[in-house]
Amino acid sequence: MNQSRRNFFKTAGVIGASIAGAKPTMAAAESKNILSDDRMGVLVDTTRCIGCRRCEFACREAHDIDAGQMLDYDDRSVFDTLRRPEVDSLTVVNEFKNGEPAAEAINVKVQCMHCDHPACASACIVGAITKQQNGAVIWDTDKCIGCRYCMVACPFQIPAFEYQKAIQPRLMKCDFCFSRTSQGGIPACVEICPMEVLTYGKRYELVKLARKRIEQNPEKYVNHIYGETEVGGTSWLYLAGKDFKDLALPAHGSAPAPGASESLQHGIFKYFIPPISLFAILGGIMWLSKNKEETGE
Amino acid sequence: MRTTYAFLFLLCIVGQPLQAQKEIYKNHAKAPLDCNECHTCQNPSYKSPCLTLFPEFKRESLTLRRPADEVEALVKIDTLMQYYEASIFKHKLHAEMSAFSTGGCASCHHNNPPGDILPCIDCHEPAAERENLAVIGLKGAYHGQCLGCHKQWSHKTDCEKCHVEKGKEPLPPTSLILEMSQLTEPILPKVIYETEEDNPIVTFHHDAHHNQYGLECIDCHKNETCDRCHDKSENKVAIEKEPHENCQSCHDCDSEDDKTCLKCHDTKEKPPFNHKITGWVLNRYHEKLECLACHSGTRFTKLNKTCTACHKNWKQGSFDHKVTGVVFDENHEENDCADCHLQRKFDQKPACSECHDEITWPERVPGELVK
Ligand code: SF4
Ligand code: SF4
Repeated sequence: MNQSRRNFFKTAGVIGASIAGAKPTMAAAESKNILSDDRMGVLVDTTRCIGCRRCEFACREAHDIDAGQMLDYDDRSVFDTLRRPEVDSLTVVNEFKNGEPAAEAINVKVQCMHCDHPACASACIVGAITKQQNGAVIWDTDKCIGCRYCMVACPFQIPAFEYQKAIQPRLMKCDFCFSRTSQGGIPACVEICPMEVLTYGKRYELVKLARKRIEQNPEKYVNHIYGETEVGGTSWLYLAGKDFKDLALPAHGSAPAPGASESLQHGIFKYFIPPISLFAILGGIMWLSKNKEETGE
Repeated sequence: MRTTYAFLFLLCIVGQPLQAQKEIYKNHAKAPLDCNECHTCQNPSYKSPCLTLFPEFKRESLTLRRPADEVEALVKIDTLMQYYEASIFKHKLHAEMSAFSTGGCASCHHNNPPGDILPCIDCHEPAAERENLAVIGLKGAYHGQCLGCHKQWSHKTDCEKCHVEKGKEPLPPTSLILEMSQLTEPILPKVIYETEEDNPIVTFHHDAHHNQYGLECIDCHKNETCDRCHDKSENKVAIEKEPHENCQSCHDCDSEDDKTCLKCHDTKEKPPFNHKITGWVLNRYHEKLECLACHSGTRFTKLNKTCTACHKNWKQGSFDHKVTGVVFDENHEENDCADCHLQRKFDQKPACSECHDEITWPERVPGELVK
């Protein structure tokens, strides 16, 4: 038995190396200027949000997830529990009590922050997650091996996995409506939001805008733009009238979360192969070594 | 010749302000003004002055040329109709209610420069992708105004309150909406406060204060937020922070003197004020009057009960005696008041005996009794 295992790995190594060598195009597009001044972002002004959840509706529609009826989203009982983005809801709105009367509660929309230095991308050993020039952090279905490192790495607990799918489960998270934004469009949530809680624009302009709002209404806002420096800066920025910690936006330093492991992992697994092919190869190897075993004995 | 004159004339008109502007341009930078108050950029030039739309110091002067009860009753908002049908805004109702708040009309028509009221779209662009992100877009501006209050009091964000989803059942008829927009009379007859005193119950007869005692809404409701009264979740009006303040401006309230407290505080609900307790039962005519028709000021003190103390010009010919329930016959029509009401003491029984032997009121009537 021991013998056959060793055989398995040996064969796997040879076949794996030959395939990797044949596919040099898998390299992540690292030459892009991913932190260009023109990168876009969204400013979320939580003081304006009314918790109508139309953004949840629009998000589902834009991502081919069953969205149901728009009126269903008037149900505010969902606010009884704190929700996180899930495979079928890439953005969720939460509600936080804010003294009396109850109507003063604060609603906060949650989704991927589209970090400037995304920990998820660094953790991803196959480079399936990349930061795009327009600010989006997106994910490549074909490359993902389903290891779920990104889930662990994300400082905001964003990525969700289609656990119910055994083969090729998709990572589901806000993709900044990449199919729209990469074509000059605006994210679906920004478009539908009746209160213009969400402002889509160049990130540096949003920072300016946010600062101006704080300046003009110092009694309304806490003097902090969440996401401006957190984990090295994020494309999504938040304004609030209350400490961000109380709104389930965790306190983070300004150092990017990933650390030094990035280049190492990426170096090793740069030429890694997509899982379907991997399964095929592994299957092949098993079949080969099984044959070998049979003939050897 | 004519054209030359016309040209010269035009030059005078047009040239004048141009000249003036140039002068200002030259020197106003030296004046003690804050550049940023008018200019948005660092180095404004004559060609691109980058002027602020409405400098702060100009904003004070919003001109509202019409009182709130003369404004448009309904306004149809149909600029943005992506998901929903047009919304019919009960404008007059809101204009009137806005008097209770700090802002009045300017709570919505904010930053309006002097002159006409501008439509929202003049400043708030409808597109989400717009040049100037600093000014909120039209959709956000509209909803911000409405939901700022409506969400507060309903605790809901039901869009259908203002507009129906596209393609769904049509809006109610305009006449019905118009009717709803007229509801400005006090709808709250009374408020029962539960205090922590020994006599905990304070009954406030809200409608009587308006309809009879002659108070206007804004005499009490000043600088208020809508949800102070409209908070549906509370199902009661929030008690004032300074509970005695409003009452005290008219009612004596001395914490040392129990008697003044008991006027309002009781162990049970109090009936509304009845004039009977003053010893003067109001007749059907007086009953209809506002208190201030007889009493002046805020102190409802004892009045002289002689009719002519108020009805100063009552004399024969100027008084329709029918209102007393007696219509004179021909024989009495010409009488002077004092012929029957001796010394014009109208609260005393009329004296028939001055002319007639053995005839007394009310056994005999000098005419006919009417209702
Ligand atoms: S928020 Fe999480 S998932 Fe989104 S980019 Fe940052 S690390 Fe990645
Ligand atoms: S659509 Fe806008 S207002 Fe409504 S919940 Fe989402 S962010 Fe808040």
